[in-house]
Parts: sequence; C-alpha cells; structure tokens
Amino acid sequence: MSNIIEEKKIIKKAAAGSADAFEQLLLKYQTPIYNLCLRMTGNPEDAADMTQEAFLKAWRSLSSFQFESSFSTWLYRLTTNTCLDYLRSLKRRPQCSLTVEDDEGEEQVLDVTDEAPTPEEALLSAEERSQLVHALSQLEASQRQIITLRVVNDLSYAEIAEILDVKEGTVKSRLARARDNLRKKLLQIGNKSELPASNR
Amino acid sequence: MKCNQIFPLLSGHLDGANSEIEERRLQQHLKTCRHCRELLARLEENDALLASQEAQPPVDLAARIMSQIRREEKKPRFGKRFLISTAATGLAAAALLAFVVWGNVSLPKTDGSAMEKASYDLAAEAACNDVSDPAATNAVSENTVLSDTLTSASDPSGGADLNTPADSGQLNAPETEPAPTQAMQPTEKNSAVAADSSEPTEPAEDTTAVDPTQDTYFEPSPPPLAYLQNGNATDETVEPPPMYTYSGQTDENPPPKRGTAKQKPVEGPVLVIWKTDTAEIAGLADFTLFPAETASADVLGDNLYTRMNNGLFLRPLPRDDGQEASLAVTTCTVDYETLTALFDECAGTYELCVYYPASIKSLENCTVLLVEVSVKPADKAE
Repeated sequence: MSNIIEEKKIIKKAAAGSADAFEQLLLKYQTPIYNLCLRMTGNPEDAADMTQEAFLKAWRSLSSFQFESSFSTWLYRLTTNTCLDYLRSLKRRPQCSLTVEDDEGEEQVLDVTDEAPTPEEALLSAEERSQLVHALSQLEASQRQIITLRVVNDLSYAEIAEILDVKEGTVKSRLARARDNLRKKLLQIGNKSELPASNR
Repeated sequence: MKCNQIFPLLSGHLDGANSEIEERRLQQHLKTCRHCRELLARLEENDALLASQEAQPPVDLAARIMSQIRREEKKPRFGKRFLISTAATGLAAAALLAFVVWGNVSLPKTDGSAMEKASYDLAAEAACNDVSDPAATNAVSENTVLSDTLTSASDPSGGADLNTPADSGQLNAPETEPAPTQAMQPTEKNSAVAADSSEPTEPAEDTTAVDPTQDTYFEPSPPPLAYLQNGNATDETVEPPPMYTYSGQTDENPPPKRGTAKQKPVEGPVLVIWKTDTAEIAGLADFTLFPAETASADVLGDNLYTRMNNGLFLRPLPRDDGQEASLAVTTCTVDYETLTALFDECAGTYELCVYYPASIKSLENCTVLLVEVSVKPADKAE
C-alpha cells in the first residue's frame, strides 16, 4: 500500500515536470514494457524503439493521467496502442521476414529471443522456443497483444479488460481464441519442420 | 462435454479464471479424455515458455530515453521550490524580503500604489532611453506591451483572437475599468509610447524610493513588472483586477480555445507565490512556460491550460480525493507591504509557497504571479 502511495507521489512529481521522478518510473517499468513491445513487434530493435516511443508519450501526456486507473494499466494501454499503430504502419510498407536462410540455404526461423537462457529455459529446446516465438509472431496483432499481456506481463483479466476497454468475459474468450490459434500455428510449424525428417 | 467445446475452459483453467461449475465440468472431462489432458499439458508448457522468456532491455535504453526527455525538459516548469510553513512565517518572510532587496527591487512606501510605481518605472525608463535609438525604442514598446498584458489594462484593440474568458486573461483583458489615475493609465498604443517617450509621465511623488538616475537600475531592460492587485490597496476607486479562474477541464467547462498569440511572450523568470489552504502544494497545478509560438498542439497535447499572459499556462491538476482545485491568479508586486500582508493573512490559515526558476538571480525583470488555490468537493464544484 505504501508503495502505491509512494508511486503516486512520484507520478505527481513527474507530471509536474520532474525528469528525475519520471526516471524512477522508467526504471521500474522499462523491462515489462520492453517485453511487451518485444512480443508485439517481434524484434529487439523495434521493441527498443517502441519502448522509447511509449515512454516519451507517457512523459508528454502524464499531466493528463487522472489516476482513474493504475499507472501501470495506463502505461500498458499507451504502449500497446503505440505498438498497434506501428504495426498498422508496417502493413503499408514491405515487411521483412522473420525467417532467415542458413548456410545451406534453408529457411530458418529467426530467433528473436535476445537473452541467455535461464535455467528453466535451458530445459526446453531452442527449437521449441524459436517455434513458439515464430508462432506468436504469426498471430494477429490483437491476439499477440492479449497473450503477451496475460502470459508475459502476467496481468489479471481485470487489468487487461481495462487496458483493452472490454469486459472481463471478453478477455477470457479472446484469450482462449488466441491460445487456440497459437496452438494451431505451432502445429503448422511443427508439421513443416517434421516433414523433411519424415521424408528422410 | 465434447472436446471441441473444452478449449475455453482449458484457457480459463490456466488463468484461474473458471467458475466452480466450469472447473468441475473441465475436471470431469479431463478424467476421461487423454487427448485433452495432453492438450492442457502442452498449453501449460507454452505459457511457461513464454513467461520465462523475459528479455532485458538494451542497457543504454533508459539513458537514451532520459536524454530525450531532458532535452524536452528545457522548457522550464518548476525550478527550486520553497515550502514555507505557517510556523516559519516570520523567518520565511525575512528571507524572501532579503531576496527582494538583494534583487534590487524597490519597496514603495505604504501609501504609494505599486501600479503608480509601475507606470513611473515605464515612464522613467522611457525618459532614460534615447528615442533615436531604435533598439531602445523597441524595448520601451515591448515593455509597455508586456506591462499592458500583465496588468490587464483595458485595450479593446489588443490583437488576440481569443474568445473565452480565460483566454481574455492572456492577451485581452476583460473590459474592466482602467486604472483611475493618469499616472496609472497605461499608454494606449505602443507606438505612442515610443513617440512620446521623451516626455515621461510625471512620476508620483511617493515612488521615489528608487533614484531614477541610478544607471544600474535603469538598464535598458524591462523594469520590474508591477502590480495588478495590491492586497492592501487603500484606494477604493481602484477597480479590482479581473481574476482568472479555471477549475479544470470537464464537458461543461471546456478548456479555453487556443488562439494565435500576437503579442510578445512573457520572457524571463516568473516568480509564483502560491496561497493554499492545503499543505499539498506539489501537484496542485501544472505550471509551464511556453513561448507562445511553440504552444502548438504538439507541445500541449490534449491538455489545454489556462493561459495567463502570453505563453504562460496554468491549470489545476486532478486530485486523488475527488475534490477539485481551482486557481485564481493575479500578478502582484513584490513589495514589503504586499509580502507582509500576505504572510499575515496566511499565518495559521494558509501555506505560502514560492516557486521560482533556478535561473532567478534577481527579482528585477521578474513576473510575479499570486496564485490562490481553493479546493472544494467535486459535487459542489460549479
């Protein structure tokens, strides 16, 4: 509770123009916001750009923050909208593929995970990881958004409902649909990757 | 229950979002369906894999963002801040008065109105400036524009295309009674000041606390901007200056329309003296100085501010407690009487808080705003 009060004070200071106060907010939220952007955009460079864009927007419009929602909800909403705007703009331009050719000329999924694996990750194969990331990147932006908010950012249905401005029941059904599509995409990718092996 | 109907419950199960009934139905189905058990395991694995892939942002990302933000921060908002509690009123008053004296600001005698002094300062400076010097002439002209703006003297020809009352506080004063004495009457047209500047308005006798021959005081820079409302003004014929209030943006109370500023923006430091009955001074108002030319939608975003003078924006911030703060802003002079009256008035009732930009080294050239904050429950807000 005291943390919430403390954060409110910091937010008010930042809204009054204190860059130092805003820096505290930035340092607290940059990792979840970056991860949200990373899953939404699919690559680290765009994720960094979107993170920067989102925080700059937050800085410029913080004085309009009414404390009607939590600051994190407000920031996540601003960030997802920033990412969706960016992704919409990409549709109007040629897109680069998330696949690359390896030394043998075969198409490989570009692994956008940019971190050394944690012990938990090490238990899962690199192939599984890249397939999952690739499958996620192939979902519609709105489905990527809701899965990321729930699974990566670990937000509750209530928070997601507030960010997306929908009812909690809608969050539940959309999440089910998104997970189902993710599973189907994974199956497609898995079948593709298994085909050459079965032909051998 | 069929397998193709079970997926929403599997997803809900992962998030702990199923109702008791849903969860019971799911568990009954899972007991008998190996396929769905495997599917659930797979979904749990996917979630775990996604959740475990937290990436760290680039190490220089925060620095990059803050660098950009600090570049934007160059537009001054709050500078240093003194919070003067009522318990320390005497000490604070002494300190501020020392600051005033240090700033080489004259202290008019009790019976001399500050507005007279302002007029005198303008006239005296005009006399000291060579009218053949275009720069000096322009300086006088600009000073008068600024003075007219700050003192809200009636000038129906005031050149701004702003319509709302709040806007009128910025450039065109509402049609109020002009200052009553000749000495207090601002020059009607800037050009008239320039042309007539060799014949200064006769200074009031009681404003001689400052020797006008002192070159150090009459530098070719704007004089101290004085006075709209003197807290202890005794001349009852003086029409109170308009108070510009704005209680925040609502549907019923739209923000002032943005206009095209045509007058010179306020330049130089602005000293803000806050009067408030709440100790929570920080965050009561957003206070930003923008040159008028940059007051575009990009800079201001969707948040319009009460525009006080040219280029100065003030607006109350929303409060957590549902109450609504409103601001009443006047310019004032920093003289001994005003300050002591303010401190006396605030003793035991108000807090006084003085904001001044870090750049202030002297109160000379300083625009002084007195901001009175009142807080009222939202349901009683007009």
